[in-house]
Amino acid sequence: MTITQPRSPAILTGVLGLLALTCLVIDFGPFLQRGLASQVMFTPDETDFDQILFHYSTLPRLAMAFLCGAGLALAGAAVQTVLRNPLASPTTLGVGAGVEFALTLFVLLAPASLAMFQEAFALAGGLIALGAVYLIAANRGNATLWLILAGMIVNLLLQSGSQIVLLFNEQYLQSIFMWGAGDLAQNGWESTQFVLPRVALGMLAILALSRPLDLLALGDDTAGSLGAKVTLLRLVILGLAVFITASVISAAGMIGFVGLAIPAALRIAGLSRSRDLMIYSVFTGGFALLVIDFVVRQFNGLGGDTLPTGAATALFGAPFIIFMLRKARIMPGSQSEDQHSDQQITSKTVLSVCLAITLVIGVAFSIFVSLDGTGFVLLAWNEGNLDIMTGRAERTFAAMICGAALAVSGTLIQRVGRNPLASPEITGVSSATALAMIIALAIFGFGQRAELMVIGALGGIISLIVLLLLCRKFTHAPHYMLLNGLALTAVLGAIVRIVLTRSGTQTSMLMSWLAGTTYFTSMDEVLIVAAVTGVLLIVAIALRRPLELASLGPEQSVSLGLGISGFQFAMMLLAAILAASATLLVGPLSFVGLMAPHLARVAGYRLAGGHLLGAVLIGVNVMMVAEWLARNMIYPAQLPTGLIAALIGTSYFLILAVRKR
Amino acid sequence: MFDLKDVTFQSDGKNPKTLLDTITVDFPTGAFSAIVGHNGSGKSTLLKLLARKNKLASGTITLDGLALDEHGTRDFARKVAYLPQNPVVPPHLSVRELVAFGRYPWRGAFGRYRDEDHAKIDQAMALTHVTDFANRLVASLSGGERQRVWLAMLLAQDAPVLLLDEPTSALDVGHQRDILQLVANLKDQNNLSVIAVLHDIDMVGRFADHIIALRAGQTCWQGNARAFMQGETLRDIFQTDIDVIHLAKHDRFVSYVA
Repeated sequence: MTITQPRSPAILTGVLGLLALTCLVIDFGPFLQRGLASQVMFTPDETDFDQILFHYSTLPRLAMAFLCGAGLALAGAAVQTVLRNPLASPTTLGVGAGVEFALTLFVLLAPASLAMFQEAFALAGGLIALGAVYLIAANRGNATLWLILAGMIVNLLLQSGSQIVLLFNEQYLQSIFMWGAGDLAQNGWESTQFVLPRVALGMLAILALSRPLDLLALGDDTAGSLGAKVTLLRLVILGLAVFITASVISAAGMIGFVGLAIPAALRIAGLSRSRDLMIYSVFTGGFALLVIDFVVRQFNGLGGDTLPTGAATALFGAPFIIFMLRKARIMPGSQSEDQHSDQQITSKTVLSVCLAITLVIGVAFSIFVSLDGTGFVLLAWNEGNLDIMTGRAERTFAAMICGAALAVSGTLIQRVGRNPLASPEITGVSSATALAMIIALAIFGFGQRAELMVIGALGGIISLIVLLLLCRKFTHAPHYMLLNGLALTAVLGAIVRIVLTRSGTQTSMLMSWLAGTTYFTSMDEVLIVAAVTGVLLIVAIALRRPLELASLGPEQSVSLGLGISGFQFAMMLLAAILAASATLLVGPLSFVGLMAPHLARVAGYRLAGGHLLGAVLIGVNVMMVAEWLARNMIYPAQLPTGLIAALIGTSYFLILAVRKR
Repeated sequence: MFDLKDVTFQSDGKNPKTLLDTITVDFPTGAFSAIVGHNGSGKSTLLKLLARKNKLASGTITLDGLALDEHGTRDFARKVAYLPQNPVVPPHLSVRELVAFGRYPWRGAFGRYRDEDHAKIDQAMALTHVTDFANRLVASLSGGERQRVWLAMLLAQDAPVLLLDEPTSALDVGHQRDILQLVANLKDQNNLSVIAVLHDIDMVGRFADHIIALRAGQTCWQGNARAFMQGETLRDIFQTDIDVIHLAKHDRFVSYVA
């Protein structure tokens, strides 16, 4: 390959620039004809409604779109360069969700006298989220993958955190959702005046550092020996990127995917030097968001409702990212590093018995003991309390069944996908399930939970089939699994935001379900899910030998006579059905499907049969604890079980990361 | 056994490269056949075609008179055992558990392992000298030890045809000799057919019965070990200044690079 200045990035930017210009011309059209263009820009005639509307709404909106797009794209380019990770971006690494969570907390809880600290708070939120992601992913073999995975975990957790906070402040729901969905609508120049200096400052600082940034691309060791202060540089750049992102999100809400897609597209088009990449990103990002926002504005007129730009960006962006990454194959190769393990082979009977005992004790504790705000309360065994006991038993049982279903589902996906990071939550199966259910509920008005369950299962299965088709052509399955998850969760997030901005009555029920409450479940459903889980667990254990064989990889398992693609498909189908059943009960985001199989493996359950049983025992225990905590932690109010389980899961990965150091 | 007629193989992608070009070869039954050639000549590609890991673009391959893709998956696994160059190392399996997978083609997902299966597994581990680490994790072994474990799995598979892609690449010279000697002995005792991609010219000359040389995707030479170990032949195959010395005491030839 010869080294010439590639032309395609210039073409890409040029085309977007022309499109943006077209949008401007259309917007300015009426005034251009009358020769009023400069007047309407600087000194609008205060008596002309059109001019006022244009000057105080359309014009700042155009400016904001360009500024936000430019800032986010530059932040994305900088983060991607610094972390040498083509999938990194402020939104995929949890920065956006961190800022959003911090701002939601601040707006709802902080007294008005502290308003001046709002920006610092948002910045801190973004930095803490990024730090957590970095901590989870640091010192892992395949850092690219772990970063993205950790970003997804933190993202999901923070988003649900924001939702919980909102659950207790329903009166603000609508407006905060509008903002959270990335609303660029303007009624003055304040936002622009807020964003412009900050984004410009951040951009200039990052651009000034573009030469040492190029050094970073050579790798830490080489860069260090050439005299770059690698760690400091990295921190400064990341800090600036977070600053830009926080400013944009404070003013305009979550606008996803611009920061990821624009620099990635430019890189694929052939830009490699970081200075060029960043300069191009500024313009391409600005133009792109301006065009997207223009398109979104056209839809606004039709229904009278507003469609949030940020959510629309995610809807466009997610499929685009998948498509692009498939074409470019800029993902790293499959795990080639020579794993070397000193793990001991030990019997797990004792551990299993212990887990079973804690389970029995835990169930009894969960039924009879509760907190009432001052301390523990023991429920006496008599007729009058029987109702309370059955109620508690039902909810505990529901949570435990979900734990079991997700554990089996996660174990199957991890084993068949040969990816210890895979799980129904990560691969997007849970998201697809929830997505199908929400669409059915909010748009088509299906109300029956049995109907929803079938629809949800179908959604999960379709997503898995798509996933398998994507993976079929390439052998680097782990990345595509994560990509699928990334895209589906983003789409889910976008649709949830859009639906939530418009549906009034079902909103809070929908939200508590998304956060994973067991409150709405009925005993019939739980029994159905329990039966499904039991049968499929037995099927999976009966198939433990081929399941083990699959760990040798497709080549070897076919060589040994296992028709791997059919088997994989069957196992993924089981996993999807289990994930869908559990999602119906506790919503999509408990990380039990990721955590339980992982913990079981770390604890030493090696072989497929034991791994399944160990994961089920752990999953059931975790969900039981989570359910009790959710019920009692902030008595008399209740938290969603799924959220508590997700908290436990994230803490687990954080502890794991810290201990590995 | 394997009969190849006008076999062509192309790489995937927009500009497919022809990696193997109209190859017509007969692999004799009950022989140790070695595939040799320079880097990138298509050795592993050819072996993968035989193992059904690659799909051929044109031509025909038959195994025991039946077209290759007409064998069922398990049926094929009972006939042909294949060891890839870099097999996936499962992080959690012990040596014995891995070797036991050699019995999968015979017992399937649900069949009980009988005494004869366990005997075959033990025998395969004894032959490859891995019995001592039977209960250690495969992932904790060194490269050479792992290679012997994989070979043990292939032996437990009990297939009449062994396809080996550089089976001795990670072994020291002593173990190289042991393994190839073992394969050669097994071939004689159990009437196996072995097809191996090998790099070491002297090992090929010592153990192989039949040699197929590839150059740039085409067969450039075929013959027995005696004819292979000639300076002229080697120079022609490897395009390098190479020659042989005759060791009168053993009546063998060894190669050296000039």
